[in-house]
Amino acid sequence: MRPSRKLAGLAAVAALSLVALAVAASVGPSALGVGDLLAVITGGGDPNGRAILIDVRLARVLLAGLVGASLSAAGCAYQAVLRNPLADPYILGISGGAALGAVAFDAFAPRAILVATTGRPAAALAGALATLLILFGLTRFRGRTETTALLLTGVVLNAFDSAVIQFFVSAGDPARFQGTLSYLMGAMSSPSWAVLATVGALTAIGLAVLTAQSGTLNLLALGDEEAAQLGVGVERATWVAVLAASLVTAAAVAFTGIVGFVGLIVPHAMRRLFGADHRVLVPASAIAGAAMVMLADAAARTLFAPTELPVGVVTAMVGGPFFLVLLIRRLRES
Amino acid sequence: MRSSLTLIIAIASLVVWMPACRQAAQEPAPSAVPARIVSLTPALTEILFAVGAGDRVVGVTEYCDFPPEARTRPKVGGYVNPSVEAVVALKPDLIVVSPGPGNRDAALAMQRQGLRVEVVPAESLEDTLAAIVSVARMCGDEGKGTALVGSIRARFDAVSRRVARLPRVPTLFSVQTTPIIAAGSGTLPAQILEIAGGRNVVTEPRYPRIGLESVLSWKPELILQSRMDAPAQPSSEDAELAFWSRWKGIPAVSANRVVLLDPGVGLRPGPRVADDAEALAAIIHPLAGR
Amino acid sequence: MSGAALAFENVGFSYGKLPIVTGLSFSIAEGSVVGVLGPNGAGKTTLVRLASAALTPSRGRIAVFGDDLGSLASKARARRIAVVPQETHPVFEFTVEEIVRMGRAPHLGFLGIEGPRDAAVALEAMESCEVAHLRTRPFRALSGGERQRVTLARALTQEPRLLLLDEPTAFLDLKHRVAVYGLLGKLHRERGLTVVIVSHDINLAARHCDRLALLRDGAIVIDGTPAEVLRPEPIRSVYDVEVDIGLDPSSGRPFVIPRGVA
Repeated sequence: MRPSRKLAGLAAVAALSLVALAVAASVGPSALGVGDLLAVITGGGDPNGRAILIDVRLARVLLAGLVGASLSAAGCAYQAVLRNPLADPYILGISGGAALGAVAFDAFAPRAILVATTGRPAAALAGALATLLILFGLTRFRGRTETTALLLTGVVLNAFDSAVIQFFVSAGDPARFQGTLSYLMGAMSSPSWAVLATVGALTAIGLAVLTAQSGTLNLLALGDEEAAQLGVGVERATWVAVLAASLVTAAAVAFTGIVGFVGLIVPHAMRRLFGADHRVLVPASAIAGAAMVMLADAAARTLFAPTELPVGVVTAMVGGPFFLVLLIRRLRES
Repeated sequence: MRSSLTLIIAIASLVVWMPACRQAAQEPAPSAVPARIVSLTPALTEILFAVGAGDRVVGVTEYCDFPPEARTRPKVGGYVNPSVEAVVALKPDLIVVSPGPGNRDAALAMQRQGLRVEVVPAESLEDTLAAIVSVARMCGDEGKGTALVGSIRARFDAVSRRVARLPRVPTLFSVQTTPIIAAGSGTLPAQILEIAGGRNVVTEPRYPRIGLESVLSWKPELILQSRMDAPAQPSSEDAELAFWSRWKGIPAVSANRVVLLDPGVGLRPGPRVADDAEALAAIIHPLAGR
Repeated sequence: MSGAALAFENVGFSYGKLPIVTGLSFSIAEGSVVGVLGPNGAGKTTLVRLASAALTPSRGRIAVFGDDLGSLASKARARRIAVVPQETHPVFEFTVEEIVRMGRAPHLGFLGIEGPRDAAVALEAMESCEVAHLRTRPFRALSGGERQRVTLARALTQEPRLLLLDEPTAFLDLKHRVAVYGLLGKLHRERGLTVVIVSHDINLAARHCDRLALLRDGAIVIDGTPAEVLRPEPIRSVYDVEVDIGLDPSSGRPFVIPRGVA
């Protein structure tokens, strides 16, 4: 695909994403729709409608977008670094660590001190960062990192975290952990603007680094030795990519729990459209991923209104079959 | 199509428990009065003590904390996963259990050991009152049960009379906040708050997980917020209060009518439902007098 | 001015406790085409990997155009040395053009933005290797010979001074073997590249290389011009094979006729 066509394609994806944003912000369990949204944006509308549309819906849609962008870009990076198209952002154990942090918080934290809207995400973030440290410590050997070692350590960490979480939930008072279980399935909430700004900042930093690294990701995807022969400092480049991808994944998981399939599917779909060049793939995936989660969250809020589904359930139910279709097509082609 | 998921889950759990229930109903009442009783559900423990069988209770779950004497009895595990071994070791001649997530296998295992297991549903208000009578009957003195139910009903009537002519307050009973899980129609908290003069804004059955947007559009004037475990005094730093206080668009929030309930209020199917109805009435209509 | 493009001084390398290469010393003059021959396990691939800094020697020193190899930064090294591996299997569906343009990486700045010159160099490399007509095709859909030429084009895009090829014709049919060597010769003439080819193909190497080195058990047994090296005794000691040597009148180079196992 010529560069100009790729740019046009990117612009198209961005436009569709904006449409998704508008659609997501226009639907909800209350009766407010597009017209009300426009009215509120242009300064009119009644205060209650304003509260619903801006503070409840829009803030949540934006959070969903940030999460989708993070997970998709992280998925691209992991797939390149691990040279494995089946890698997703959770494969190295970051999500397990975040989940464990959240569960430990719910198990131990004195509740009057830490507010659930920032305490639990902070604990989840701490869990994710601790996991990164462990990964870094365990898999470096004489200054070199084998990607196989990374993968295996991630699998083990995920399994371990899962087991500890199960322990807490079964040994503890079940009433305490009802919220946790929902969180583990992906719980989008209406964040305060401070929280949104924090997530936004973390996501922006991570995405900026990953986009700057995207040329190097192309080279890493060829293999460590070939990348080195093309001038890449493989060790450093691998860790920069892993760190940036883990940071945005941790930010996403800390606030909204585990939203599955996005980091796996969006890079695949974008690769089919744009090819494998990560300099286009990473931004395209971020934009498309944002759209996907915004729409998934809109569906989660409205399909069985007023009952809300966990977002992770919607992405899994849509993502699973979609992924199967992609796989089957790929098998047929080869 | 609404809430078909929750409906399916509800039906599924009933179907799973029905064989056990039917079995219990068909067994003839044993001749001897049970002398060693194990309770696998906190609500049933309360009922046992309330109908005078407390001194015969030899085993309870870790969460059976009322009345205080119950805490002195040997523990047999949690109410989600009680220990079959611990129960068998106590050589009970009666085990009472309410259907719950996870304790079915344990209960069946105990039955296979030849122990007498009575399944006593106690979720809704009707179940609870029926449970009081049937537990009393199992313990050999149905009269105590009927009397207790009678006094509970009398207290309910007193509350109803007091609030009869007052406007019903649109109320949300929130079990937890992140995510928001509310008590739907037909649940115990909903039934109690309706007796106490409130109107449940949630029409969905069971305990739906709902979004803020729904709460904002229902405009409840009172939010009853349950707390899992809590320090003795609710404080303004409580997480739940902080959560609700952001949303001034909810009438309950802007009128400062988000009330933190003492742990368990409205959620325990047992003799204290009358206490809870009176407590909630005092909250819903503070000026109604006693 | 012809200095040493590549110099090994008493280089040793072990895989764990197993020594692969010991006391390896040689020097390759700039602008020459050198063929490295030897049986399997002789250490030929290890030599290439040591020269490209994929492996670090446990003893000795390697110099590239006068500079210590270990002291060069990755990008600086990649601007001097390019490697054409035996095979390359990208996990993703890159196009030929995308693969070739990756060769510009050592020349790009921090963000990896390419300029018009980068595109021009890549295009010229593709044309030299006769793969320009395949540029939009997926790399994985190409035949072995085409892939090898694309990888060669990528190496050229690095604008290296030294080209290392590890058995470039290992999976190719006769036509493509001849074509690759012909192409290497042409590139060497046009660009003055120093070329080091590890090969199993004695006769093609003899025809196209200025010098040959025979390796066995991690050490050089003999090196020199094809006429000096390709004689029955050295070949017997390295390959355990009895041969007759013929002379190709068109090139003036010797060729080997195997007779039987020694």
